[in-house]
Amino acid sequence: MSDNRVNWDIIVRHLSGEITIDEERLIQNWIESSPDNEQFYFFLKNIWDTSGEEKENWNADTAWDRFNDQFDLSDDFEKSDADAEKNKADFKGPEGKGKNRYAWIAVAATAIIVTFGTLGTLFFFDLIDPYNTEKIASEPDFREIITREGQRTFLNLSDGSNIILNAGSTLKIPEMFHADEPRTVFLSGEAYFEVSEDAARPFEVHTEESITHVLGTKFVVTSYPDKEYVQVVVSDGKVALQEKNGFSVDSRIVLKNQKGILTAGGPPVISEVENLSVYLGWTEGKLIFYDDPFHLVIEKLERWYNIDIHTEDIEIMERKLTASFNERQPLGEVLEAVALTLGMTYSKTDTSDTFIFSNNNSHDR
Amino acid sequence: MIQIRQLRDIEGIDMSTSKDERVIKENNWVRLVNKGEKKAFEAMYKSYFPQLCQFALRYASSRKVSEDIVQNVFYSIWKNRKRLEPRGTLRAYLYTSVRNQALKQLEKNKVRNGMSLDRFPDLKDQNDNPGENLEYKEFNAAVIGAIKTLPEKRRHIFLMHREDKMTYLEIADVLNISVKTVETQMSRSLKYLTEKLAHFRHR
Repeated sequence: MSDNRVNWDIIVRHLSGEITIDEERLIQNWIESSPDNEQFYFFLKNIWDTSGEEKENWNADTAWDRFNDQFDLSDDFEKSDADAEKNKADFKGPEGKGKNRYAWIAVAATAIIVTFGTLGTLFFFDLIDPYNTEKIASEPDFREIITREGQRTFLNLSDGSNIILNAGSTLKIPEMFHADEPRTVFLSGEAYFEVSEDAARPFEVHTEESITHVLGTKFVVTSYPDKEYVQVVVSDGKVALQEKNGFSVDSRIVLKNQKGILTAGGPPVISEVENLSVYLGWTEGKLIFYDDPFHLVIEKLERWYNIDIHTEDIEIMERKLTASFNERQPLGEVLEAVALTLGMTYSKTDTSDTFIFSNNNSHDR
Repeated sequence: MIQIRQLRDIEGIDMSTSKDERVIKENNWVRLVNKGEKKAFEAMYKSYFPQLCQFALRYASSRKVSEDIVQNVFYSIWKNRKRLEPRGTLRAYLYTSVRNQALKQLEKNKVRNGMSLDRFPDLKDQNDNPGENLEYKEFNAAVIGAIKTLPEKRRHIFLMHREDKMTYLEIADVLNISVKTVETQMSRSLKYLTEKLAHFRHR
């Protein structure tokens, strides 16, 4: 870079900081060799530093909101570290005694639990005693997850499957899924399953009376002890529904948008589902009624809000409700809407969580 | 002038963090997004949305189109989050995706309208800062105006470096050209601008 000629390549390397020490020395010498060079250098640097374009205003926050409206991201579960633990849980297993302990703690951590909404209270399960490795390693342990009334629980399993446990339900899942064995869980109550496909290890949901065989699909199993039936509603893929205790080993296939109902002693009855959201709404924090008789409405409301509803009018029990509520709506608002829609009134009793519904006409006002 | 430059830098994302910190943070985002962590995805989105739109606007015909392009890119990232594995930096990956999408869009418009593609959006002067002195404003406007007259490819490269703060390697990655070409184009641009703006030199 002698005789005042500018080496543009080196200048640019210098300005963008991608320069070698030798080149930097050259530049400095060139700048210092004459006032004109120095002046020219600062002129270049000014251009360089000023370079850009007019910036438009882009609002990332509102764009993010629009993005969420436009695309349904919530369709997918939010995966957690469960996946990361997958290898440990599924393939490694306990090795030595010292390592053993930690491996099992990791396994315990694979069930990540998140409750949500105003109804949810944070739910913890007992961590296994980390020092009692003998017991843990020796028998197939099950973890019991219980949701109280008015509570729902998200579970991410180590195999990538996701479960949402509805209010007043119990789910038993093994500490770990073993290779080449069916993935078996036990349910009492209601749960939504998104099962990750694994041909080598079919997924089975057992209830008191039924077995649902699964291979990569989404569905809801309802089996509350106070009900005389097991209901399986499939939103994607298909499952096989089988009676457990009867003599029949026959299973029936329940396809997408169908529900299978299993009553004691009989074979499963399959029917089409008109409105899936009625069965799946609760997984998104929505309480949806679709032509539901009032006695069913009571059942759902009681479980959802952990309240008691009484009524002395038998005749109003069969009135049908079609309505949709979300979990952010206050209880009073929901009860008010139900009463209004069905031509009833309701009142609160002295005990805070009990409500009485009665026919409008029976009250002279 | 130096003060103003610094302000501009701070407005941009990550200008204040060093390159290593940025790369570490972005690798972390990628790892979390792989696992489906929406929070990390949101952070990635919000951090990159403005600059990617700005970048897309150099190709697109309107703000709306640029935003759509960027939204689609992010959606496909979320959809394929498990397979998100940038070869180079996340930034290069995002810019590449936006550019590909923008070019596809341009191609579509070309077929439909049969019109010239080299339309540069009308940019209004939005940064009306009364605190800036006139002389600087004039110079600033002249530089920005001169950059607009650069040949298209050269302008893209130059702005990716000066405006988007990408490294030569990242630019080469996004445009699928060699680092040497990036460097050559950068010096040609500066030479061109210096000549174009020569009348400011002795003021």
